[in-house]
Amino acid sequence: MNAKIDLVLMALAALLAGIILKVGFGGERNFDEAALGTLTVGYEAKNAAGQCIHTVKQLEADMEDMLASIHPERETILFLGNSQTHSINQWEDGQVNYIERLDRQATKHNILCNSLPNANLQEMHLIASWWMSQIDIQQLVVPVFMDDLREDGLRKEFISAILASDFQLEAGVPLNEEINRELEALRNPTEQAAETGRQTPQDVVEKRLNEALSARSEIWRNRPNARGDFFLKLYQWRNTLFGINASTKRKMIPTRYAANMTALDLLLTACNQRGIQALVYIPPIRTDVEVPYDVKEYESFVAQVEQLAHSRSAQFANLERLVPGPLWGLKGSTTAGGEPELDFMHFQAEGHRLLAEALAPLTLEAP
Amino acid sequence: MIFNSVTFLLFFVVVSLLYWGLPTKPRYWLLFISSLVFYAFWRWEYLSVLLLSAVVDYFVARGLQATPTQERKRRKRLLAISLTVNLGLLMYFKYLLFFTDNLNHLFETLGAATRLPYWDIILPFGISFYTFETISYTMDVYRGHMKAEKQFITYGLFVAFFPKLVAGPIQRAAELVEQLKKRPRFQWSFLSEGLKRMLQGLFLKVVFADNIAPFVDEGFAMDPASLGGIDVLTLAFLFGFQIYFDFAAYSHIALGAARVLGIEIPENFNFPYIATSMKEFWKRWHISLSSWIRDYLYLPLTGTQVLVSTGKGGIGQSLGNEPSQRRKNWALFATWAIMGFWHGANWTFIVWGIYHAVFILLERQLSPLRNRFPVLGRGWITWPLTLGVAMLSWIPFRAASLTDTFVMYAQLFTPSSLLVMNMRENTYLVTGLMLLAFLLSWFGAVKVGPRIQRAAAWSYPIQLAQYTIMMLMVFVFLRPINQFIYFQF
Repeated sequence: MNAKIDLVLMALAALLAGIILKVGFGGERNFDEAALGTLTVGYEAKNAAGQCIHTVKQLEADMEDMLASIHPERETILFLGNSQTHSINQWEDGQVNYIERLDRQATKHNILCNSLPNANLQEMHLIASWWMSQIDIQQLVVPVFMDDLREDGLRKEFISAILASDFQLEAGVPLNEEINRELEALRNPTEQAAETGRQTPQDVVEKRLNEALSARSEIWRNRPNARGDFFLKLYQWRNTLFGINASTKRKMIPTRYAANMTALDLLLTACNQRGIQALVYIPPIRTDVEVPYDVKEYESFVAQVEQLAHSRSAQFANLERLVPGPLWGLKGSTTAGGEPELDFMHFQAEGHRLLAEALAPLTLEAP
Repeated sequence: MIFNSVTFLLFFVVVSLLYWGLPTKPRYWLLFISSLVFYAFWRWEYLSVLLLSAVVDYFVARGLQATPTQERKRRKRLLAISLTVNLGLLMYFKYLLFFTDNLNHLFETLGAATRLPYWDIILPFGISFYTFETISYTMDVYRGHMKAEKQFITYGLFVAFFPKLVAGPIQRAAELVEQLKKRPRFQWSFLSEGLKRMLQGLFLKVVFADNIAPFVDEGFAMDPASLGGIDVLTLAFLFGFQIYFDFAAYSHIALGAARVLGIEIPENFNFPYIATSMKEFWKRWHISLSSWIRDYLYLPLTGTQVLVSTGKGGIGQSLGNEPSQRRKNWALFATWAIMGFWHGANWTFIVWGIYHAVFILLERQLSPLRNRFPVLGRGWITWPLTLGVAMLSWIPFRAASLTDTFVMYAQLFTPSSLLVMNMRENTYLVTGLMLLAFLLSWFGAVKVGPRIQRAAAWSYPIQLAQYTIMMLMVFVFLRPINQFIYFQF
């Protein structure tokens, strides 16, 4: 092909790519919401004074509010959670989640919550340990979801406060050191800097160039949106191609499962050492239809969590049957252009009321 | 400087504009200084190592040029200076920690209290590549294959030329120096061919290699005993694709950047995973290294006189007298062990090298049997076999230790764990997709591409769509999160 024509084609392609990025990927996106589907709404609890007491992304304003909400004479209960905590199915105006309900009932306790979607127990271990290093905590509430034991690793968008600090988990424990290494990698923009702990001239220049481009160019700012959309589409196409939906049975991934259970063990041990009363519970799951797990694996998981909780002097509660079928609902399709699907993770506001009622005696009224 | 970064792209635009805007003579000063700046963006203090290697070989080569061939002793002494300095640098920066560690283990095993101290050494980027280039330059002058370069700037540019400085392709001095002296005039084809290669390279790196990396890292971080046979095979294939996309991407960008500047550097890859024998694989994979190893290591070890050296062709070409089979086999194993050790200071790399030697030797022995199959259907048997052998060779290359390597290989032969699948479902899916993408890209480039190119009018919209998709993806995924795998060698 003629070189000049080729160059013209490349210039046209660059122009087209720019237009696609500007038009197709503009605006604010929330991929957590996109993952939840349009039928489920994210909800972060507030106290009576309107202060945020519940964070998902550890945003600076949330953190300031949460620290300011702490009443020094009261005991503090930290609730961990995943999207079940911060979502309400078929939400209607005025409805609140179980954290806010518990806060309304609490007269002797500060209620704080840090939840994150698909929270694996390694993330929960890190987040709880970080909170323990920041404030005095008397109780810790840990829901253990079978689903989330398939997850692994840290996600920087949910631990910004931890990344901004120089916090590290206690060294000498293999899993802690692995998590610490991952933290370092997230703190440093390049592999090189993460390995050597030193920024190269390239790291410095690259960061400045990126900041300058983000400040001046809309299409540069749209890049994360485009990446998110791309992976979301891939996820939907995969599901469509292989007939995967929310009801499909998912198998446990042994190594991830083991790492997450080790993280739970480390977390409960830390609570024990600090005199923090831990409550571990099996969260509600939709039981009016067949669960999307291998039943034997699920039963063994429940038994293991219970045994671990008891061995570390933590309270244990199995709340799996707490929320009846009609209080669950539907979630947006996980396939490309598909119909809404059964939601096994998020329930309606009435479910949150039931969960708050079940947790209150175990936390607010605990001896 | 990392190619997959905004910093590099900006640097390259500025250098290219200045380069073609300047008269021919100062261009080489510009390229030399730019190359030093390129390197200093990693760590400026390690420029001294690069310059030391270059300066020593410059003077050694000048000395060799000035010494008549009859003065063999003096010539050998000069060559020894070059080899000592270059291999000494490699030994210190790359292998000292390995030897210290092994000696300390030996002392411990023997019950001796002696322990050698561990020094805090950082491996300078590209040292394995530029020392090989400077050694080959001196060897070529020593063998009389080329004359020593008078101008330091021309020679220095051969060593430091930024597109291939950090991870090759390993260039022969004669090939580059000759081009530099010709001082090419600007042609639009330089720009179009170069930009196309750079786009291809960036696409392979940021879209494929970087997105495969987390799956590979996760798989190899697992306890190898928990992996099933299918898991090991999947990881071998997945890492095989990651390293191919990563390294081929680097080579594409290097070739493209050089082309924009009017300079040609040799091809390094040619769809290696369609090879139907291991010998063919090494004529398609890291071609510049295998041809270097052939000319400066394997052939001398077999006692063959090297008559011509080129950076093309890969392994397997015998130039000159034919050595005995026994000596060839010995040279094969020694060469591959050294080749493995060149890649990294770890026993796993030596195992990787020996693995290749074993299969190449096996192939030599079995070639009469292979030739009995009809030519037409032969590829359908030999291709999957070669692909499996080549992919499984990546296990020691990526595994953390020898123990992990052997445990992983053992899982392939353990009937009870053969079908166990312990990794995330997406890992298997991505591996399958990568195999499909590789085969389609080969089919597209080799079978369909040339036909489309011939039908000029038809090809424009297809080319436009292809460029648009590639640019869009590169723009979206361009982040210097992972350096190129071969930077560590």
